[in-house]
Amino acid sequence: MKSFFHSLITLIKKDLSIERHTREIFLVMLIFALSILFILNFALDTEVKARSSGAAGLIWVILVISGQLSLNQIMNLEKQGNMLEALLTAPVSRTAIYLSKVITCFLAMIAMALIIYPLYSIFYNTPLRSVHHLWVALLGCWGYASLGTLISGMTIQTRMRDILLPVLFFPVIIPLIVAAVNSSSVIFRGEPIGSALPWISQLIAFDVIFTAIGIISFEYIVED
Amino acid sequence: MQTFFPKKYLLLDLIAAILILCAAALVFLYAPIETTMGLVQKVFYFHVAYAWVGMLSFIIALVFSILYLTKRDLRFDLASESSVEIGLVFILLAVGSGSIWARPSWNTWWTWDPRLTTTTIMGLVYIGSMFLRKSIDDPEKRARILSVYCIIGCASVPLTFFSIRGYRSIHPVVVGSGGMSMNMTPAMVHTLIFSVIAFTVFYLALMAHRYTYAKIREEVEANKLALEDINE
Repeated sequence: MKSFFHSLITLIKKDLSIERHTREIFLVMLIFALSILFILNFALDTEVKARSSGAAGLIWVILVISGQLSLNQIMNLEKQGNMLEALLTAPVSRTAIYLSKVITCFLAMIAMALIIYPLYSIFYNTPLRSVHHLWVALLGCWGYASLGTLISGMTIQTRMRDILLPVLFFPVIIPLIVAAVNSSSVIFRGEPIGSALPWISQLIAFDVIFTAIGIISFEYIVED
Repeated sequence: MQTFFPKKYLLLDLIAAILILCAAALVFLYAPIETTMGLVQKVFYFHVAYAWVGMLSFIIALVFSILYLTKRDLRFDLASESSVEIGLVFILLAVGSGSIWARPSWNTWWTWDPRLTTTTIMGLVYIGSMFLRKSIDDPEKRARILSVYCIIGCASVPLTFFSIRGYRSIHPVVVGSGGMSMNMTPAMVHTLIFSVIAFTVFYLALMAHRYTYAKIREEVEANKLALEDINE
Protein backbone atom coordinates (compact mmCIF):
# COMPACT_ATOMS: atom_id res chain seq x y z
CA MET A 1 0.00 0.00 0.00
CA LYS A 2 2.85 2.30 0.91
CA SER A 3 4.58 1.65 -2.39
CA PHE A 4 1.29 2.34 -4.18
CA PHE A 5 1.06 5.84 -2.72
CA HIS A 6 4.74 6.38 -3.28
CA SER A 7 4.48 5.57 -7.00
CA LEU A 8 1.24 7.57 -7.25
CA ILE A 9 2.91 10.67 -5.82
CA THR A 10 6.01 10.16 -7.98
CA LEU A 11 3.88 9.92 -11.12
CA ILE A 12 1.94 13.06 -10.24
CA LYS A 13 5.20 14.91 -9.53
CA LYS A 14 6.51 13.77 -12.91
CA ASP A 15 3.46 15.15 -14.74
CA LEU A 16 3.54 18.39 -12.79
CA SER A 17 7.22 18.93 -13.45
CA ILE A 18 6.70 18.31 -17.18
CA GLU A 19 3.89 20.83 -17.02
CA ARG A 20 6.07 23.32 -15.17
CA HIS A 21 8.65 23.18 -17.92
CA THR A 22 6.46 23.02 -20.99
CA ARG A 23 3.29 24.80 -19.84
CA GLU A 24 1.42 22.94 -22.56
CA ILE A 25 -1.70 22.09 -20.62
CA PHE A 26 -2.85 24.71 -18.19
CA LEU A 27 -1.94 27.86 -20.05
CA VAL A 28 -3.48 26.67 -23.29
CA MET A 29 -6.65 25.70 -21.45
CA LEU A 30 -6.84 29.03 -19.72
CA ILE A 31 -6.40 31.10 -22.86
CA PHE A 32 -8.96 28.94 -24.63
CA ALA A 33 -11.43 29.41 -21.77
CA LEU A 34 -10.86 33.16 -21.76
CA SER A 35 -11.59 33.38 -25.46
CA ILE A 36 -14.87 31.51 -24.99
CA LEU A 37 -15.70 33.85 -22.14
CA PHE A 38 -15.26 36.77 -24.53
CA ILE A 39 -17.22 35.14 -27.35
CA LEU A 40 -20.10 34.68 -24.91
CA ASN A 41 -20.21 38.43 -24.48
CA PHE A 42 -21.10 38.88 -28.13
CA ALA A 43 -23.47 35.93 -28.14
CA LEU A 44 -25.36 37.36 -25.16
CA ASP A 45 -24.92 40.99 -26.09
CA THR A 46 -28.49 42.06 -25.48
CA GLU A 47 -29.53 39.23 -23.18
CA VAL A 48 -28.51 40.77 -19.87
CA LYS A 49 -30.84 38.51 -17.93
CA ALA A 50 -29.55 35.35 -19.56
CA ARG A 51 -26.03 36.22 -18.42
CA SER A 52 -26.96 35.86 -14.77
CA SER A 53 -29.69 33.25 -14.96
CA GLY A 54 -27.61 31.03 -17.24
CA ALA A 55 -24.35 31.62 -15.37
CA ALA A 56 -24.04 28.08 -14.00
CA GLY A 57 -24.67 26.49 -17.39
CA LEU A 58 -22.32 28.81 -19.25
CA ILE A 59 -19.49 28.38 -16.75
CA TRP A 60 -19.76 24.61 -17.01
CA VAL A 61 -19.86 24.72 -20.79
CA ILE A 62 -16.59 26.65 -20.69
CA LEU A 63 -15.07 24.16 -18.24
CA VAL A 64 -16.22 21.12 -20.21
CA ILE A 65 -14.95 22.38 -23.56
CA SER A 66 -11.63 23.71 -22.36
CA GLY A 67 -11.04 20.75 -20.05
CA GLN A 68 -11.10 18.52 -23.09
CA LEU A 69 -7.78 20.07 -24.17
CA SER A 70 -6.13 18.91 -20.97
CA LEU A 71 -7.53 15.41 -21.40
CA ASN A 72 -6.00 15.17 -24.87
CA GLN A 73 -2.68 16.49 -23.73
CA ILE A 74 -2.39 14.45 -20.55
CA MET A 75 -2.34 11.15 -22.42
CA ASN A 76 -0.51 12.42 -25.50
CA LEU A 77 2.30 13.25 -23.12
CA GLU A 78 2.86 9.53 -22.63
CA LYS A 79 2.29 8.62 -26.25
CA GLN A 80 5.25 10.71 -27.37
CA GLY A 81 8.33 8.50 -27.56
CA ASN A 82 6.30 5.47 -26.48
CA MET A 83 6.42 6.59 -22.87
CA LEU A 84 3.21 4.73 -22.15
CA GLU A 85 4.82 1.38 -22.97
CA ALA A 86 7.75 2.24 -20.73
CA LEU A 87 5.37 3.20 -17.95
CA LEU A 88 3.40 -0.01 -18.33
CA THR A 89 6.47 -2.20 -18.13
CA ALA A 90 7.63 -0.38 -15.01
CA PRO A 91 6.73 -2.10 -11.73
CA VAL A 92 3.86 0.27 -11.05
CA SER A 93 0.25 -0.77 -10.62
CA ARG A 94 -2.12 0.26 -13.41
CA THR A 95 -4.41 1.85 -10.87
CA ALA A 96 -1.59 4.15 -9.77
CA ILE A 97 -0.98 5.20 -13.38
CA TYR A 98 -4.66 5.86 -13.92
CA LEU A 99 -5.15 7.74 -10.67
CA SER A 100 -2.06 9.86 -11.22
CA LYS A 101 -3.44 10.98 -14.57
CA VAL A 102 -6.84 11.66 -13.03
CA ILE A 103 -5.32 13.73 -10.24
CA THR A 104 -3.15 15.78 -12.60
CA CYS A 105 -6.13 16.47 -14.81
CA PHE A 106 -8.26 17.24 -11.75
CA LEU A 107 -5.70 19.77 -10.50
CA ALA A 108 -5.69 21.53 -13.86
CA MET A 109 -9.50 21.54 -13.96
CA ILE A 110 -9.97 22.83 -10.43
CA ALA A 111 -7.42 25.59 -11.01
CA MET A 112 -9.41 26.54 -14.12
CA ALA A 113 -12.66 26.53 -12.17
CA LEU A 114 -11.12 28.74 -9.48
CA ILE A 115 -10.26 31.27 -12.18
CA ILE A 116 -13.35 31.00 -14.39
CA TYR A 117 -15.97 31.31 -11.63
CA PRO A 118 -14.74 34.70 -10.30
CA LEU A 119 -13.91 35.97 -13.79
CA TYR A 120 -17.41 35.21 -15.00
CA SER A 121 -18.77 36.94 -11.94
CA ILE A 122 -16.68 40.06 -12.66
CA PHE A 123 -17.21 40.20 -16.44
CA TYR A 124 -20.93 39.59 -16.38
CA ASN A 125 -21.75 41.28 -13.09
CA THR A 126 -23.19 38.14 -11.49
CA PRO A 127 -22.55 37.82 -7.75
CA LEU A 128 -21.19 34.41 -6.69
CA ARG A 129 -23.10 34.71 -3.38
CA SER A 130 -21.43 31.83 -1.54
CA VAL A 131 -18.26 29.78 -1.19
CA HIS A 132 -20.27 26.59 -1.65
CA HIS A 133 -19.43 26.80 -5.36
CA LEU A 134 -16.13 25.31 -4.32
CA TRP A 135 -17.69 21.97 -3.34
CA VAL A 136 -19.58 21.74 -6.60
CA ALA A 137 -16.43 22.56 -8.55
CA LEU A 138 -14.38 19.98 -6.64
CA LEU A 139 -16.93 17.20 -7.17
CA GLY A 140 -17.68 18.12 -10.77
CA CYS A 141 -14.02 18.36 -11.76
CA TRP A 142 -13.20 15.03 -10.14
CA GLY A 143 -15.94 13.20 -12.03
CA TYR A 144 -14.94 14.94 -15.24
CA ALA A 145 -11.29 14.00 -14.78
CA SER A 146 -11.97 10.40 -13.81
CA LEU A 147 -14.16 9.55 -16.79
CA GLY A 148 -12.25 11.83 -19.17
CA THR A 149 -8.90 10.22 -18.43
CA LEU A 150 -10.37 6.81 -19.18
CA ILE A 151 -11.84 7.90 -22.52
CA SER A 152 -8.63 9.71 -23.36
CA GLY A 153 -6.76 6.47 -22.68
CA MET A 154 -8.95 4.87 -25.34
CA THR A 155 -8.73 7.58 -27.96
CA ILE A 156 -4.93 7.91 -27.94
CA GLN A 157 -4.80 4.35 -29.23
CA THR A 158 -6.94 5.16 -32.26
CA ARG A 159 -6.14 6.74 -35.58
CA MET A 160 -8.43 9.72 -35.11
CA ARG A 161 -7.12 10.57 -31.63
CA ASP A 162 -7.99 14.13 -30.56
CA ILE A 163 -11.02 14.43 -32.80
CA LEU A 164 -12.61 11.35 -31.34
CA LEU A 165 -12.34 12.37 -27.69
CA PRO A 166 -15.26 14.85 -27.53
CA VAL A 167 -17.44 12.59 -29.68
CA LEU A 168 -17.03 9.72 -27.24
CA PHE A 169 -16.73 11.71 -24.05
CA PHE A 170 -19.47 14.36 -24.16
CA PRO A 171 -22.48 11.99 -24.49
CA VAL A 172 -21.38 9.95 -21.46
CA ILE A 173 -20.45 12.88 -19.20
CA ILE A 174 -23.92 14.48 -19.50
CA PRO A 175 -25.35 13.15 -16.19
CA LEU A 176 -22.46 14.69 -14.28
CA ILE A 177 -22.85 18.03 -16.05
CA VAL A 178 -26.60 18.05 -15.36
CA ALA A 179 -25.96 17.60 -11.63
CA ALA A 180 -23.11 20.15 -11.55
CA VAL A 181 -25.07 22.81 -13.43
CA ASN A 182 -28.16 22.34 -11.30
CA SER A 183 -26.32 22.53 -8.00
CA SER A 184 -24.38 25.58 -9.19
CA SER A 185 -27.49 27.38 -10.29
CA VAL A 186 -29.16 26.76 -6.93
CA ILE A 187 -26.19 28.48 -5.29
CA PHE A 188 -26.20 31.29 -7.87
CA ARG A 189 -29.83 31.98 -7.02
CA GLY A 190 -28.77 32.56 -3.42
CA GLU A 191 -30.79 29.69 -2.00
CA PRO A 192 -29.47 27.83 1.08
CA ILE A 193 -27.07 24.96 0.37
CA GLY A 194 -29.70 22.54 1.67
CA SER A 195 -31.81 22.89 -1.47
CA ALA A 196 -28.83 21.89 -3.61
CA LEU A 197 -28.21 18.74 -1.56
CA PRO A 198 -30.08 16.30 -3.83
CA TRP A 199 -27.94 17.45 -6.76
CA ILE A 200 -24.74 17.38 -4.74
CA SER A 201 -25.44 13.86 -3.56
CA GLN A 202 -25.98 12.89 -7.19
CA LEU A 203 -22.61 14.43 -8.01
CA ILE A 204 -20.99 12.33 -5.28
CA ALA A 205 -22.72 9.19 -6.56
CA PHE A 206 -21.56 9.84 -10.14
CA ASP A 207 -18.02 10.50 -8.95
CA VAL A 208 -17.95 7.18 -7.13
CA ILE A 209 -19.43 5.30 -10.12
CA PHE A 210 -17.12 6.88 -12.71
CA THR A 211 -14.01 6.43 -10.59
CA ALA A 212 -14.89 2.79 -9.97
CA ILE A 213 -15.46 2.18 -13.69
CA GLY A 214 -12.17 3.92 -14.43
CA ILE A 215 -10.12 1.91 -11.96
CA ILE A 216 -11.64 -1.38 -13.09
CA SER A 217 -11.49 -0.85 -16.84
CA PHE A 218 -8.22 1.07 -17.24
CA GLU A 219 -6.42 -2.27 -17.08
CA TYR A 220 -8.35 -3.58 -20.08
CA ILE A 221 -7.66 -0.48 -22.12
CA VAL A 222 -3.87 -0.43 -21.79
CA GLU A 223 -3.44 -4.19 -21.72
CA ASP A 224 -0.63 -4.74 -24.21
CA MET B 1 -13.71 -23.07 -43.12
CA GLN B 2 -16.09 -21.09 -45.22
CA THR B 3 -19.06 -19.41 -43.56
CA PHE B 4 -22.43 -19.59 -45.27
CA PHE B 5 -25.70 -18.12 -44.21
CA PRO B 6 -27.49 -21.02 -42.48
CA LYS B 7 -30.71 -21.95 -44.27
CA LYS B 8 -32.61 -22.34 -41.02
CA TYR B 9 -32.29 -18.61 -40.42
CA LEU B 10 -34.43 -18.04 -43.50
CA LEU B 11 -37.29 -19.47 -41.49
CA LEU B 12 -36.70 -16.72 -38.92
CA ASP B 13 -36.87 -14.13 -41.71
CA LEU B 14 -40.13 -15.59 -42.89
CA ILE B 15 -41.66 -15.58 -39.42
CA ALA B 16 -40.49 -11.99 -38.86
CA ALA B 17 -42.03 -10.88 -42.17
CA ILE B 18 -45.35 -12.56 -41.41
CA LEU B 19 -45.43 -11.16 -37.88
CA ILE B 20 -44.77 -7.61 -39.07
CA LEU B 21 -47.47 -7.88 -41.73
CA CYS B 22 -49.86 -9.15 -39.07
CA ALA B 23 -48.83 -6.30 -36.77
CA ALA B 24 -49.54 -3.79 -39.54
CA ALA B 25 -52.92 -5.43 -40.15
CA LEU B 26 -53.73 -5.23 -36.44
CA VAL B 27 -52.67 -1.59 -36.26
CA PHE B 28 -54.82 -0.51 -39.20
CA LEU B 29 -57.78 -2.88 -38.97
CA TYR B 30 -58.12 -4.09 -35.38
CA ALA B 31 -56.99 -1.24 -33.11
CA PRO B 32 -59.61 1.49 -32.75
CA ILE B 33 -58.95 5.04 -33.86
CA GLU B 34 -58.01 7.20 -30.88
CA THR B 35 -60.65 9.86 -30.17
CA THR B 36 -58.52 12.94 -29.52
CA MET B 37 -55.47 12.32 -31.70
CA GLY B 38 -57.12 10.49 -34.58
CA LEU B 39 -55.23 8.49 -37.17
CA VAL B 40 -51.78 9.80 -36.28
CA GLN B 41 -51.91 7.84 -33.05
CA LYS B 42 -51.29 4.70 -35.14
CA VAL B 43 -47.60 5.72 -35.20
CA PHE B 44 -47.58 4.83 -31.52
CA TYR B 45 -47.57 1.04 -32.09
CA PHE B 46 -44.45 1.24 -34.23
CA HIS B 47 -42.81 3.99 -32.20
CA VAL B 48 -42.87 1.96 -28.97
CA ALA B 49 -41.62 -1.13 -30.79
CA TYR B 50 -38.68 0.78 -32.34
CA ALA B 51 -37.70 2.30 -29.00
CA TRP B 52 -37.93 -1.11 -27.34
CA VAL B 53 -35.73 -2.78 -29.95
CA GLY B 54 -33.27 0.13 -29.76
CA MET B 55 -32.92 -0.33 -26.03
CA LEU B 56 -32.90 -4.11 -26.21
CA SER B 57 -30.01 -4.11 -28.67
CA PHE B 58 -28.11 -1.79 -26.36
CA ILE B 59 -28.52 -4.23 -23.48
CA ILE B 60 -27.57 -7.16 -25.71
CA ALA B 61 -24.48 -5.29 -26.88
CA LEU B 62 -23.59 -4.77 -23.21
CA VAL B 63 -24.00 -8.48 -22.48
CA PHE B 64 -21.76 -9.42 -25.40
CA SER B 65 -19.19 -6.82 -24.36
CA ILE B 66 -18.98 -8.26 -20.85
CA LEU B 67 -18.80 -11.76 -22.35
CA TYR B 68 -15.92 -10.67 -24.55
CA LEU B 69 -13.96 -9.21 -21.64
CA THR B 70 -14.39 -12.40 -19.62
CA LYS B 71 -14.07 -15.04 -22.36
CA ARG B 72 -11.85 -13.22 -24.91
CA ASP B 73 -13.62 -14.73 -27.90
CA LEU B 74 -13.72 -12.37 -30.89
CA ARG B 75 -17.10 -13.75 -31.93
CA PHE B 76 -18.67 -11.93 -28.99
CA ASP B 77 -17.23 -8.70 -30.29
CA LEU B 78 -18.76 -9.33 -33.72
CA ALA B 79 -22.13 -9.92 -32.07
CA SER B 80 -21.80 -6.73 -30.04
CA GLU B 81 -20.88 -4.81 -33.21
CA SER B 82 -23.97 -6.19 -34.97
CA SER B 83 -26.25 -5.29 -32.10
CA VAL B 84 -24.93 -1.72 -31.92
CA GLU B 85 -25.46 -1.15 -35.62
CA ILE B 86 -29.02 -2.48 -35.63
CA GLY B 87 -29.78 -0.59 -32.43
CA LEU B 88 -28.70 2.71 -33.97
CA VAL B 89 -31.12 2.28 -36.87
CA PHE B 90 -34.00 1.56 -34.51
CA ILE B 91 -33.13 4.45 -32.18
CA LEU B 92 -33.17 6.82 -35.16
CA LEU B 93 -36.49 5.36 -36.28
CA ALA B 94 -37.89 5.76 -32.75
CA VAL B 95 -36.85 9.41 -32.51
CA GLY B 96 -38.06 10.11 -36.05
CA SER B 97 -41.43 8.44 -35.62
CA GLY B 98 -41.78 10.12 -32.23
CA SER B 99 -41.26 13.51 -33.86
CA ILE B 100 -43.86 12.75 -36.50
CA TRP B 101 -46.32 11.87 -33.77
CA ALA B 102 -45.35 14.78 -31.53
CA ARG B 103 -45.94 17.47 -34.14
CA PRO B 104 -49.73 17.00 -34.43
CA SER B 105 -50.38 15.89 -30.85
CA TRP B 106 -48.04 18.16 -28.84
CA ASN B 107 -47.72 20.85 -31.50
CA THR B 108 -43.93 20.61 -31.43
CA TRP B 109 -41.35 18.43 -33.15
CA TRP B 110 -39.21 18.16 -30.07
CA THR B 111 -39.41 18.57 -26.32
CA TRP B 112 -36.68 18.16 -23.72
CA ASP B 113 -38.34 15.26 -22.04
CA PRO B 114 -36.14 12.70 -20.20
CA ARG B 115 -37.16 9.86 -22.51
CA LEU B 116 -36.55 11.78 -25.73
CA THR B 117 -33.28 13.20 -24.46
CA THR B 118 -31.99 9.92 -23.10
CA THR B 119 -32.92 8.03 -26.27
CA THR B 120 -31.12 10.55 -28.44
CA ILE B 121 -28.06 10.51 -26.19
CA MET B 122 -28.09 6.73 -26.49
CA GLY B 123 -28.02 7.22 -30.26
CA LEU B 124 -25.00 9.51 -29.87
CA VAL B 125 -23.20 6.88 -27.79
CA TYR B 126 -23.94 4.32 -30.54
CA ILE B 127 -22.56 6.61 -33.23
CA GLY B 128 -19.49 7.35 -31.09
CA SER B 129 -18.78 3.67 -30.67
CA MET B 130 -19.07 3.13 -34.42
CA PHE B 131 -16.50 5.87 -35.03
CA LEU B 132 -14.29 4.27 -32.41
CA ARG B 133 -14.60 0.89 -34.14
CA LYS B 134 -13.59 2.37 -37.48
CA SER B 135 -10.45 3.99 -36.15
CA ILE B 136 -8.74 0.99 -34.51
CA ASP B 137 -7.15 -1.65 -36.74
CA ASP B 138 -5.94 -4.34 -34.37
CA PRO B 139 -8.96 -6.66 -33.81
CA GLU B 140 -8.06 -7.63 -30.24
CA LYS B 141 -7.44 -4.08 -29.13
CA ARG B 142 -10.57 -2.92 -30.95
CA ALA B 143 -12.70 -5.50 -29.21
CA ARG B 144 -11.27 -4.64 -25.80
CA ILE B 145 -11.67 -0.88 -26.10
CA LEU B 146 -15.11 -1.16 -27.68
CA SER B 147 -16.29 -3.44 -24.88
CA VAL B 148 -15.16 -0.97 -22.25
CA TYR B 149 -16.82 1.92 -24.08
CA CYS B 150 -20.04 -0.05 -24.36
CA ILE B 151 -20.00 -0.64 -20.60
CA ILE B 152 -19.36 3.05 -19.92
CA GLY B 153 -22.22 3.99 -22.25
CA CYS B 154 -24.57 1.53 -20.61
CA ALA B 155 -23.70 2.92 -17.19
CA SER B 156 -24.01 6.54 -18.27
CA VAL B 157 -27.25 6.46 -20.25
CA PRO B 158 -29.45 5.30 -17.33
CA LEU B 159 -27.70 7.86 -15.11
CA THR B 160 -28.66 10.57 -17.59
CA PHE B 161 -32.25 9.41 -17.42
CA PHE B 162 -32.07 9.34 -13.64
CA SER B 163 -30.58 12.82 -13.37
CA ILE B 164 -33.10 14.53 -15.64
CA ARG B 165 -36.20 12.55 -14.77
CA GLY B 166 -37.37 15.28 -12.39
CA TYR B 167 -37.80 17.65 -15.34
CA ARG B 168 -41.32 18.56 -16.38
CA SER B 169 -42.55 16.21 -19.07
CA ILE B 170 -45.42 15.82 -21.49
CA HIS B 171 -44.40 12.38 -22.72
CA PRO B 172 -47.01 9.77 -21.71
CA VAL B 173 -46.00 6.92 -19.42
CA VAL B 174 -46.94 3.76 -21.30
CA VAL B 175 -45.75 1.17 -18.82
CA GLY B 176 -46.91 1.60 -15.22
CA SER B 177 -49.61 3.98 -14.09
CA GLY B 178 -48.15 7.45 -13.74
CA GLY B 179 -50.31 10.56 -13.61
CA MET B 180 -50.12 10.90 -17.39
CA SER B 181 -50.60 7.29 -18.42
CA MET B 182 -52.53 6.76 -21.62
CA ASN B 183 -56.01 5.35 -21.45
CA MET B 184 -55.76 2.38 -23.76
CA THR B 185 -58.56 0.02 -24.67
CA PRO B 186 -57.78 -3.73 -24.54
CA ALA B 187 -57.60 -3.81 -28.37
CA MET B 188 -54.89 -1.15 -28.27
CA VAL B 189 -52.92 -3.04 -25.62
CA HIS B 190 -53.11 -6.26 -27.67
CA THR B 191 -51.92 -4.50 -30.80
CA LEU B 192 -49.05 -2.87 -28.93
CA ILE B 193 -47.86 -6.13 -27.39
CA PHE B 194 -48.11 -7.92 -30.73
CA SER B 195 -46.18 -5.22 -32.51
CA VAL B 196 -43.41 -5.25 -29.88
CA ILE B 197 -43.10 -9.03 -30.23
CA ALA B 198 -43.07 -8.81 -34.03
CA PHE B 199 -40.26 -6.28 -34.02
CA THR B 200 -38.28 -8.28 -31.46
CA VAL B 201 -38.38 -11.27 -33.83
CA PHE B 202 -37.41 -8.95 -36.67
CA TYR B 203 -34.45 -7.80 -34.56
CA LEU B 204 -33.35 -11.40 -34.05
CA ALA B 205 -33.54 -12.04 -37.80
CA LEU B 206 -31.49 -8.91 -38.49
CA MET B 207 -28.95 -9.98 -35.88
CA ALA B 208 -28.57 -13.36 -37.58
CA HIS B 209 -27.87 -11.65 -40.92
CA ARG B 210 -25.58 -8.97 -39.55
CA TYR B 211 -23.60 -11.42 -37.45
CA THR B 212 -23.08 -13.77 -40.40
CA TYR B 213 -22.00 -10.81 -42.48
CA ALA B 214 -19.45 -9.81 -39.82
CA LYS B 215 -18.08 -13.34 -39.71
CA ILE B 216 -17.76 -13.53 -43.48
CA ARG B 217 -16.05 -10.15 -43.53
CA GLU B 218 -13.52 -11.32 -40.94
CA GLU B 219 -12.89 -14.41 -43.03
CA VAL B 220 -12.25 -12.34 -46.12
CA GLU B 221 -9.81 -10.19 -44.14
CA ALA B 222 -7.99 -13.28 -42.90
CA ASN B 223 -7.83 -14.74 -46.44
CA LYS B 224 -6.48 -11.46 -47.77
CA LEU B 225 -3.71 -11.46 -45.20
CA ALA B 226 -2.91 -15.10 -45.94
CA LEU B 227 -2.71 -14.35 -49.68
CA GLU B 228 -0.37 -11.44 -49.07
CA ASP B 229 1.86 -13.72 -47.05
CA ILE B 230 1.95 -16.26 -49.87
CA ASN B 231 2.79 -13.61 -52.46
CA GLU B 232 5.65 -12.36 -50.36
